[in-house]
Amino acid sequence: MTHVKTAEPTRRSLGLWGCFDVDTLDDQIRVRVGVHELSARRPDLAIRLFAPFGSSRPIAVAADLAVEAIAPVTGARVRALAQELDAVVIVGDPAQHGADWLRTAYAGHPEVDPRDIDAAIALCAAPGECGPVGHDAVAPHPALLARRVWPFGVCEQRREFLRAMHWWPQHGAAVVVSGHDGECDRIDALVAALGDVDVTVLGAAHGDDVFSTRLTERVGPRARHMPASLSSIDDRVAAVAGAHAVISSDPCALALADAFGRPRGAVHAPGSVVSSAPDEFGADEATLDAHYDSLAALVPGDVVPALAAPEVLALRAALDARALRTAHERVVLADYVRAVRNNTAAELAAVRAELARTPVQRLRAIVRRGRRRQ
Amino acid sequence: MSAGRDRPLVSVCMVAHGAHDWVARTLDALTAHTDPAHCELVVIDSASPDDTASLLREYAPTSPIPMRVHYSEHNLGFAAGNNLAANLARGSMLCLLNTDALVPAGWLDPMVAPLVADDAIGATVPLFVGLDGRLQEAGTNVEADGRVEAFGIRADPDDVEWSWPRRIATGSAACWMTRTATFRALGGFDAGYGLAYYEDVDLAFEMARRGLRLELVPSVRVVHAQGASSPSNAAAEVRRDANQARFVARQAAMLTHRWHTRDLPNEPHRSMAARDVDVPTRVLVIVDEIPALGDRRVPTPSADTRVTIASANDARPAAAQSWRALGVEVVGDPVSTARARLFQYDEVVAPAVWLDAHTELLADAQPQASLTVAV
Repeated sequence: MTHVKTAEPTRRSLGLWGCFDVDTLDDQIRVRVGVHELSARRPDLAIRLFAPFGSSRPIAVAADLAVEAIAPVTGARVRALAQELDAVVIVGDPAQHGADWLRTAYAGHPEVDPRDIDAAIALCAAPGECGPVGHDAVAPHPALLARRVWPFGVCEQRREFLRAMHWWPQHGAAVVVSGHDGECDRIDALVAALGDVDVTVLGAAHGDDVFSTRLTERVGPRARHMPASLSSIDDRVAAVAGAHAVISSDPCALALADAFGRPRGAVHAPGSVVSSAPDEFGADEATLDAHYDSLAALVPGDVVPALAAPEVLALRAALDARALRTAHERVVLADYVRAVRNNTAAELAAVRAELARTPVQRLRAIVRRGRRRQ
Repeated sequence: MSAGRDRPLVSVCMVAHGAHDWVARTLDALTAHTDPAHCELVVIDSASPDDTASLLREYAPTSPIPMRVHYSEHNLGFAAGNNLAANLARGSMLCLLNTDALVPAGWLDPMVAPLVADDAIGATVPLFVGLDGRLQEAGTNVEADGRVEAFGIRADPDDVEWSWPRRIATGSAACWMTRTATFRALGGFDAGYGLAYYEDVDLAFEMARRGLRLELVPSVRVVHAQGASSPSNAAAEVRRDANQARFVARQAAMLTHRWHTRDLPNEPHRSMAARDVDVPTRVLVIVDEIPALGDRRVPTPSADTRVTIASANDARPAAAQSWRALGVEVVGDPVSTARARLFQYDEVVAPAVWLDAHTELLADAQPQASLTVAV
């Protein structure tokens, strides 16, 4: 098989910049939704992902993303990026994590020079001269479009894996809870509010150990802990998509719940669980679509209306079905032709054999047949 | 593939459940034949009932390939075990490798290269050879009722029929190379299949549903001690039958236009149609002698186009081998090929003289094909 890619000598590039090389639900959801929406609108563009250390410091949760490193931040590197990229979209808010949190997350890896951390974070938040700069949406949260990236069927299949891992009830569903260590004072109220339902506690990579451990212990055998160190973003999305309800103070988790039409609520001090009805999906999706349209237009060129994933799949399936049908019909036809030919040949041989016999032989054969009938 | 920083990091994922000796042999073959610079090894010990866990604890610290092991308290099965390994993988490529599959020298790059070069390829699968040296599988056919039938079973692996890369419906996940992004986007293996069987066939169909193809890489021959890492044959058969029913229920729409070959006379037109069923366009190029690469009479093969060169003159074996390396089938006598492969081709390319001389044959055996005069 020849494997030749079409040459792309002058393909323009749109850079997505963010902390995609750390394991947080918000960053990991935003980047996937962003890639999905922008590449659908601008198939002519190369969508390139950048994070402070990128794939030079590979982490499991982002292994499905090709993330380039911003570091080391040198004058030459900044100039090269400015030349290569036609526009930049800052995804999420790199500053929201806080420099200390990011330094802790990045520290200790052999590919990370501690001197690069602050400069890389700063450049990630403010790309400077890399063409027009846009930001992905703050409100509504892009996770509201998660259904486009993670279809219901894929989530349902993925929950079979969650069951195999004992992260999900063997039958039925669970209430999904996520939180961080700063919310430990709310655990008592949460346990009281949860009652007798099955619970799956979503782990986060940094700073949730105490919260998730304590909550899991307090809820008892009905609680299952899905550790961030073993689970993928797909697992966390699948859990939210199939939840009885989602309880979290994380806007991303709540937007995910809205995306899949799951009831959701937040825990508020001093300990009451406040439910809120999902927003009007249609209106919010339209707002997000308009926002991604504007981001796609940062690089001059035609913004094409995005085909919904189910439509694309249906078209591909129809094409494959046509090929299979053609092949099948040919085999049926070939079988038929062979059968006709074989029958014809057999009949011809019988007639010839009959003709080859003498009149006496024929007469004897008729007599034999008559005796057999008697 | 060029060496250096551009080479993708490959995460080799293994799920062990006992079979200590085979796990050791598989690890030894892997570490002996793999450049550790762009590879990592993720092993799930799935509650091994023997001392496999001890072996892995000893092996990991000194493994030439960076190795991580997760010890599960319960047997996750093949699908969930591989999904967990894929969750832990940091590479952009995943190699799913059975614990009874021995990779040969130089195996990695040919398995990765098609995936790097062609976005339409979802996974690559090697040729599987049994312990007796005979061919075990060169891709697998899937029949209308969901049964799977390996191509080339017990054949001579050196036969030229198995020497050219091609699109296949599916292949055993005893050794699969795929992109991490592809595997995750499809939800990984369906863990609903339980301990084993049919999760790979199902994933291949899910790939096909999204326009991704599986590619056979015949230059890589993996020795597979089929069943060495599984329980008894009887238990395996029960599991296989149960999962076949699940597979048919999930993929009924995709099975509609497939057919049975096993229960019917093994005639050439049937076996060829089964081999090429997933390739929409088939072209037969008839030539006096095998041309050099680049000859414009021969179209470029692709996932959607299978090209067969037929020549009665086998005087240029090197040229034939070059075409096969590109994924072109090269066969002998054009007349018997056209006759035996009834209704197989969409297009027949041949010299005008040949077409004139074989009008009746083509009308009889390939009436559906468009005829093109080779210039």
